[in-house]
Parts: sequence; structure tokens; C-alpha cells
Amino acid sequence: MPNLDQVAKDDQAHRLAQKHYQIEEGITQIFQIKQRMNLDILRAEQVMLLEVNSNTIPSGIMPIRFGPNPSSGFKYPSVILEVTPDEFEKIQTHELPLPEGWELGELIPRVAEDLKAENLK
Amino acid sequence: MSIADEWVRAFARQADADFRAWELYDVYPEAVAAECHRMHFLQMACEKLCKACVLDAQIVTLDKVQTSHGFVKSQLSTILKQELSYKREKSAQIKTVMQHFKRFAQEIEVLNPSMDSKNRPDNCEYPWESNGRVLSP
Repeated sequence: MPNLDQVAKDDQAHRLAQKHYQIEEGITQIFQIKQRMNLDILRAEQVMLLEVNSNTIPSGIMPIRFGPNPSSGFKYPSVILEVTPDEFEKIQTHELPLPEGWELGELIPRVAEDLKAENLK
Repeated sequence: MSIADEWVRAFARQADADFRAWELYDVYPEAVAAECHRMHFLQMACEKLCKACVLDAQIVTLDKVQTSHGFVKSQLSTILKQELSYKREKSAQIKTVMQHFKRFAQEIEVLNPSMDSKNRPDNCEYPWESNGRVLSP
């Protein structure tokens, strides 16, 4: 039996990722971030994304958090960590470690419809 | 509410106060003593907004946020991106906004005299020297 909360969070993560892909052309990849454990219940219920953006500037591990926006269909708070491609390489080799308890989850690919629409422009 | 959350709200409230002061100069242009003051309020509002969002993620320490600068150029665009995610406008229009906004964020950041003073000595707060002349905001 799937955890309905997790399904809803994953859905929000995917929808938000697609929005970010559409808005910011420098984004090449977006990953979900998983938290191994969070004793703060409110912070456990948040969507977390790592976005590799060739148009951003290096600033290390500096995530920012946003509250929920239910009227726009985003029920959970969001945490966004934007990194440059170089920083992402360092994260993968652990030269630039993610915060304790954070780990890279699945890649959320840009949906094919978005690519098709861009090719038609 | 935890102390950490109180700090986030305090930074956000102060950002709002700075932003309202900036807005007032539009409503009452006769009150503007110098354009640099308007820019100063804009820079302070943006910096505190970015700091509030950074603090809310509870990864960067309060000490680092309080003693560091350089948040606007890297984080303000991410904040705008999130806000634009809530809108229904067509993506082509939004992409154009984002492209221009990054440049805008960069200019707001260098309004702070402690940011890139070597390449961009012009700022909204203190005098600087340029080509043998001393200039003031």
C-alpha cells in the first residue's frame, strides 16, 4: 500500500521540477533530495530538489526554503538547492558534501512534451 | 515557534520594512533626498529577503548569514523562479523575465559597497575613486 503522503510529495516534486525546467533555461538536471531522518515533523513534510544550473553562480551548499502555496497546487513547503555543473560534480565525488542526512534521490527528467514544444519554437 | 523560525520571520519582517520604505519613495518622490537612498532600501530589502529564505532551510548558520553578504546575486533569481512557478503565464514570457532578472539581481548585489568593490566600486552608500576623481552615490 503506497504511502499517500509520499505519493503526493513526489507528485509535487515532479510538477515543480517541470515548472523550473520551463522557467530557467540553464537548468540541465533536477534531482529529488531524500532526507534519511528528520525529527522535525514539519520539515519532514517538504519537497526537496537539487537543480544543476549552468546559469547560476557557485555558492556552495546554500539551499533556500519556501512555504507551501496551496492555491497554486503546492501543498508542501519546498527546499531548492541550486548548484553549478562543477559543484554538482564535486557533490557526486563527495568533495562538496551534502548536509548530513541528505542524499541524492531520483533524477526528474524534463518531460518529452516540453522538449517537443521547445523544438517547435 | 522555535528560535530559528523567529529569526527567519524577523529577517522577513525587516525585508518587508525596507521594501515598504523603497515603495514610499515612489509615492512621495518629493521626499527623496537622493536617489541612492531609494537604491539602498531596495538592496537591503533584497538582501534580507534572501537571508530569510536561506535561514529557513536551516543549513547555513545564523552567524554566517549575519556576517556575510553576496546572497542576492545567487539566491534572488531562485526566489523569483519559485514565485513564477505559481503563475500561469506562458513559459516563453517567463523565460525572458528570468533572463533579464539575473542581470538585475547582479546590479542589486553590487549596490552593496562590500561586494566586488574592485571591479564595481560604484555603490549606493559610500564614496569611491574612479579615474582620479572621487565620486559619491
